[in-house]
Amino acid sequence: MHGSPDNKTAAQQRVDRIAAFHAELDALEQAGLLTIDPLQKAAITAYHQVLQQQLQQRFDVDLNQGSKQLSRGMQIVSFLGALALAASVFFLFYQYWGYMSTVLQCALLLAAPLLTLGAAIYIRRREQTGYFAKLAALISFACFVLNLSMLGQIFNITPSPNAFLVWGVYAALLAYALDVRLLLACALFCVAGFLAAEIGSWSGMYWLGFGERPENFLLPTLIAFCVPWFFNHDRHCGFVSIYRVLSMIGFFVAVLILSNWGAISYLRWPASIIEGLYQTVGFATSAAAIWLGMRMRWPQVMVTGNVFFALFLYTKFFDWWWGWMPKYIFFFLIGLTAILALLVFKRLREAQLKAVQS
Amino acid sequence: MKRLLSAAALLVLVADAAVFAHVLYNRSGEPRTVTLTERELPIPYYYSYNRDDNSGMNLRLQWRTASSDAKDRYWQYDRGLLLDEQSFLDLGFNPAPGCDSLREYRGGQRDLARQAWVAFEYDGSTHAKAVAQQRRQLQEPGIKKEELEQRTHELEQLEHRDTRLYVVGVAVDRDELTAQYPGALILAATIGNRFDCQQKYKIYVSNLLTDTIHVPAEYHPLFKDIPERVGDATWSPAYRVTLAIGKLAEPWLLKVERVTDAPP
Repeated sequence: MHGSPDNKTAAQQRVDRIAAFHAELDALEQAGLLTIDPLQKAAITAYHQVLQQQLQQRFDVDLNQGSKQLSRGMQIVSFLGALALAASVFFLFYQYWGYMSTVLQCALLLAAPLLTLGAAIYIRRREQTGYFAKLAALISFACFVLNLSMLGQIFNITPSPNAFLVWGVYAALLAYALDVRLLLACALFCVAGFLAAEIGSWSGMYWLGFGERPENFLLPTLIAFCVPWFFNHDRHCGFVSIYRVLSMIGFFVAVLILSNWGAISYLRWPASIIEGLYQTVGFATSAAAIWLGMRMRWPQVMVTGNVFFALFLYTKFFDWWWGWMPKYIFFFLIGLTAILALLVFKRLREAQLKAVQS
Repeated sequence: MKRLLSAAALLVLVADAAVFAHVLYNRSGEPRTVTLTERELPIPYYYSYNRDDNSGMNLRLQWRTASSDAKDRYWQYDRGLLLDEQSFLDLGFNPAPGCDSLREYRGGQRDLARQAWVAFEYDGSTHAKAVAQQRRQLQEPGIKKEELEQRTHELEQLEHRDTRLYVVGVAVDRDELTAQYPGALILAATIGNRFDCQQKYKIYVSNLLTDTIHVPAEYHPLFKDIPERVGDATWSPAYRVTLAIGKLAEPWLLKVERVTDAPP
């Protein structure tokens, strides 16, 4: 079929466009502004019906609002199910590993991620929606985490950050192969943890202390934010948002901590100067994120930038005023700043509308 | 998709192969062995609480550092180690400033814990000195009755129940430490700067990186019916464990024996 989408995101967008087209067509006909030859209309409707059926069969897209809501529900249920099943795998092994010989323990630990990976592949081939394959992939990841952590325990191996890298790569491979956003988030956490530990080790600290210097997370989160620029993610629905939003949260949380607690910085300046520096960085980068989100039409970047800009602002207000100001005035001022922000956004919206109209 | 999933399967195999190669390398050659008792390798206290959910078993290495202050009553809990200036600087730590300026010193300027090697002495002169110090503290004049009872109890603990494994040396380089303490048990640990303005070159040993020793299933029956230690005046170690320490300083359990006679 001409112009047929080649991934689920594009397919869903096409289906949404078709629904919007028919709704608007009906409205224009009812208003008496447009009249289409019934034969032509029937041909268009038939064409769209066939296209929708094909896209539904090929990509399991949602054809109406009710179906979309049910899909969202299935995503939540499969997320909770994956968490519960992963926990179940952990406890199952813990319950019985004490009765097994070391050879049997190792064999089971090795077999578990491979068998569940095989199950994910098998289910993916047989089931169209992919929910059950994703569930199996998440369990496979849990089995692999169990595999390395338990082998470490069994052989009394010194803890190493390399485990995080290996887990991250495994999660990323499964995420891209089976289109699992939750596994991409796991991969990002693991790889960012590994990079932060490595950066921390450069200063001589023991790697598990990487969380004690929030600056260790700045570079890994910036790298994660830039990944969608270098790799095309058109075939993977929602992956770009995961990269951008999670990396921004990691970056801004690190800056927020440093802007309030400069003493834990690598910088050897007085704490007040470090805090001032990171407050400036926090305001500048969150404002830049809002601008970037608007310019590039990345709504998730704009919203995350907004949330952290407000957090930086309110923590500053708290520092300045909470101690001495009556609480009703403090909250009144917070409310006023929210109204001010609304006015600014209204202006920006009007400017955008004018640009569209012109 | 096929290629990514094949890569995932390969990753599992390669990662596990790397772990087994690591273990084989650690256990190759002639390991250093040390025989300890329940005093040094007790079953962790949380074991009995976890039993319903976790059938696995491990032993926890108990250790301490020698007292650096003869009058310190609570040295057992200190885990500090007083070094000479050069050894302290070799570990990469910066000494604390004078006591006057310490208050203004920011937390961030304090050194974070780092990895090093620690050498242990088992049931040697350091333990004997600790017992002698405890005895001297018992004989200090003017001690009240309750305090005397407490100190007597502590001495009895130290002599008959507490660990006799003491950290005696620390270094960044394992070979250097082995040369300095030939035959000593050497393990990886995290150490920190005590940041003491009076004892500027004092560090603390935070954790051993491999202080939990897994007990394979074939040894589990030997740990059954271990008598309860709390409140038992006649308590003595119930088992003796031989640990092997491999090329990568990672320990494993070599032998377990039940002890029915007096402790070694």
